Amino acid sequence: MTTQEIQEKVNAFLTDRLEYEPSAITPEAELKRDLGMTSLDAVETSIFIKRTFGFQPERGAIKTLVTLQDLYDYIARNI
Amino acid sequence: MRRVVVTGMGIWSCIGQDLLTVTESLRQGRSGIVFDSKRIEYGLQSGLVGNVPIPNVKAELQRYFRDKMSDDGMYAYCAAKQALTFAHVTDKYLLKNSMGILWGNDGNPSEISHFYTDYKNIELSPSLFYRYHTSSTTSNLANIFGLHGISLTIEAACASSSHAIGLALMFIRTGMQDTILVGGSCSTNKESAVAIDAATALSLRNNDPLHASRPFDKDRDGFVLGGGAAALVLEEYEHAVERGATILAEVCGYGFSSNGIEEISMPSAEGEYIAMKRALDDAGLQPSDIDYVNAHATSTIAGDIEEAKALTRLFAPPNPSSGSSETSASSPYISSTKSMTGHENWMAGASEAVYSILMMQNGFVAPNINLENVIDEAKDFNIVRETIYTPIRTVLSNSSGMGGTNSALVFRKI
Repeated sequence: MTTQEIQEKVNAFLTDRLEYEPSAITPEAELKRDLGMTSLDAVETSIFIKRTFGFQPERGAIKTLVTLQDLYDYIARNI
Repeated sequence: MRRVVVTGMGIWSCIGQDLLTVTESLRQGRSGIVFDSKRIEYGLQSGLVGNVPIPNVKAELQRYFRDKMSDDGMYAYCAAKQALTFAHVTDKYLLKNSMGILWGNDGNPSEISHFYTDYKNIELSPSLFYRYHTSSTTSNLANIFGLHGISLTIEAACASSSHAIGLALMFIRTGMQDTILVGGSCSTNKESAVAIDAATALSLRNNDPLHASRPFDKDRDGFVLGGGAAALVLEEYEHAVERGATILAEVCGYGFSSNGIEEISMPSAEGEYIAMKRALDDAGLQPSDIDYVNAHATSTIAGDIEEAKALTRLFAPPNPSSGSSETSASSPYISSTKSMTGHENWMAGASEAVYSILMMQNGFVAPNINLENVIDEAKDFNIVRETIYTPIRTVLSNSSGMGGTNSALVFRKI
């Protein structure tokens, strides 16, 4: 899977499922501060990653990520 | 003693989703019951249900909240929003005042029933917990509206939201709260009907939904599941006057009892009588002071008879000299609005408070529809079969929950 495909799938999840504001979706956006990611959203994101990319993030791993770019990179590293 | 008044109401039910529509439905004796063949396909014996639309709240409620709400939470949100808007309870008010919430509802089995058999193979949403547990609706409403006072879910089966109103009355009387959002909500989905269907408590008049709920009628065969949500803003009288709020009615009496009998599924005339008598005593009223009784009467075989016996004891006590039970010259008007709405269970105490106050406000008594052959135990009552236009100053609203918990409320026009 290419980096662009990862980004497209993640962005679609963030806007369609979590209903984050599309205009706020930029690589440098902070997950918590700019997108409003809550702790339950982080768990939802873990479930999405397992279903979509085939690996189970470690418990609490998503909450340690700061920016959206960090999330892309985390998936790319573990896929 | 601090007095408690109603300054806002909201409703989302099978006879309307706003106060105006519901008032007209009550006035016209319009049933909200339908037959849904999907319930039979699912395996229920009764395909009857109150036709309650699921509200579309996507435009006004962000995903973060919606994810954590079951269908009864959605109903509750709509009813509560109506009540708070009516009462002019604004965000500014809530920042300065610690408003409470006491809400009657059940858990939400439909949210988890699909997962029991294959749990290990299903990824559950982390929001699921917040949708299914019994306090889900209460905590959702408290967080959505920014309520900072008492927050409790009252689970007392079909008397839940009546008790919620009674407990709010006590909290406000004692000075612990000035305003409390009270109400109740009830799902109508098929999963929520499974257990009560198995208990054979539901009507099987599947081919005649409009006439299936027939409280006090000899041909009744069980209740019909209704639902939705009802909400009221209860407020200390002086507080309401200072705010310039519209006062709809006073809540002046609360009575309660537990049957404490061996058979958990049996209603009790004794228990219901005690609750209603306590409510009247609490209000400082005599039975003859009551203009209208909104009966609990659900259209079950045993329940309607026991309530009729309790009402007979309260309003027409036997005359020792004559042996007759017909001593009360001023028997109140009586009707069961469940004849139109079905049994709204956890919501019923609150919805019937709303229905009763709407009648009080508009000067009529809604009919007990579908009453063709009244049961012997209720034959001496003024059960209203057609809408009666008359001033209503005082209402006694009776509720009884499966398992033997009873609650009664008295409302007065001021």
